[in-house]
Amino acid sequence: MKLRHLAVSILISVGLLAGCRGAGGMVPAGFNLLSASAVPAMESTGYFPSYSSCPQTETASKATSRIPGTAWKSASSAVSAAAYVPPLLHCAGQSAEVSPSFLDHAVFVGDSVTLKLKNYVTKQRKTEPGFFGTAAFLAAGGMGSGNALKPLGKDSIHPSYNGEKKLLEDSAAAMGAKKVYLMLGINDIAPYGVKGAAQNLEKLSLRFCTKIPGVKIYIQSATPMLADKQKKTLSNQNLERYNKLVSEFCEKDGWYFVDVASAMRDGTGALKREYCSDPNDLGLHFTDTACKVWIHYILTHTGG
Amino acid sequence: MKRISLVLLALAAALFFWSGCAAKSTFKEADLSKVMAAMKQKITNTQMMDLSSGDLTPTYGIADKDVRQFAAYVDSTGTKGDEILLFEGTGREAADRVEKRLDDRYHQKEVEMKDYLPKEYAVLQKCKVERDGNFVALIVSPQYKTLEQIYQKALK
Repeated sequence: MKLRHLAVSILISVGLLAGCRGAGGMVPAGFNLLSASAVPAMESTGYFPSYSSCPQTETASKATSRIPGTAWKSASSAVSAAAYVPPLLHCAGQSAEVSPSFLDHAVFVGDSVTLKLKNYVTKQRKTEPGFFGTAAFLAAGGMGSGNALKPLGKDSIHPSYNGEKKLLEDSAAAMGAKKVYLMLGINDIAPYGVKGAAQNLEKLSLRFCTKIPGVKIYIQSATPMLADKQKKTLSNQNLERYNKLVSEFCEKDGWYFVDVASAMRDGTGALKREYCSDPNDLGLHFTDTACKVWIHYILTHTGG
Repeated sequence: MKRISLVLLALAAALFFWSGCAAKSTFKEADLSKVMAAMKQKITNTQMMDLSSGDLTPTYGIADKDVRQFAAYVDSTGTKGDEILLFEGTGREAADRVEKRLDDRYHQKEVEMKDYLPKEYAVLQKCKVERDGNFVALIVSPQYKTLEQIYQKALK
């Protein structure tokens, strides 16, 4: 009998506590992952209606934020469009759009999302030869940091350049890369987890630095997917957790974090439907319009 | 003895002329841009794009000097396997090199699609690199049967 009273009391307490949280505002879904100081910082900063996580007037080489978290759902677990708070991450600040020649000797490394950018650029260069500078691409469908770190072989994912299949850093060196832009993660989170995927990307980026002394590393955030196409592990919530870890190692290692994802999100944190070329399939690839937005973002977030 | 020599000579002459005719009959001709134009009428993927000669080396490692003519029409979305590559080599050895590059490309597509795009991989498995004289082609498309017929018909 006493036990029953105790159980009822606990249930009432939990109910009241949940009610208080609901009234008090947002609790980050990744609350357990955040430091204790993260939540007060988030509350003091408030909601940013703009999708961009970086201050738009920032002209310094890097914009920083005290807030390393993401708010995805209320304590009652109800995900609502109005409730979404974009993550605030350490990232390259915004500036006026620079000339495409900024991308001369740049190499873009990525998966099928970057493959679309490559194809878009290839098409545009037919009529506009200087489009996107002389940037080159090392992209392959299904590529991730994890499989890029694996040894080179006939059956390895490494894309070929000029018909030669090499490790990514070797290809980039052969291409004369002075800047390397990486966007990977969507093929890593499921097999390696959020933390493992981020660690793999850091390892891969370090390989470029070792192989090409003086190279500038720009790591682009993994971009979101349509809300209704999220999987158990590959979800927008996990992509944001991954991006947070990536932005942190960029800060530590002195690399630029280019938060392309911030330009692709709708008000709920998902990929804008009009930017999605495969809404009936994977729900994460880009249209030509999205590529234009992406390129503009790159040219306005150069790291100063 | 004289008669045997004459018979042998006649046989040799016949063989020579026959082989000459045979060689002539295997010589192929086709205007690949026209072939591609005919194929485009049958391709259902509306997100394809043409490649130019400047794309051949970085994308496939195929050198300009090896190519007498070509037509290349590929998917632009990054999510489909469609890729139509038609080449005529400048000679037999050049065609060998082009064939090797297209074999490599086919294998790379297999590696990329196997676990990632199973439906596209299933289509790819039905397609192959084809060699006919100095002509080499890789036709990957859900309409591969129709496109191959167009291609084969064009090689005369």
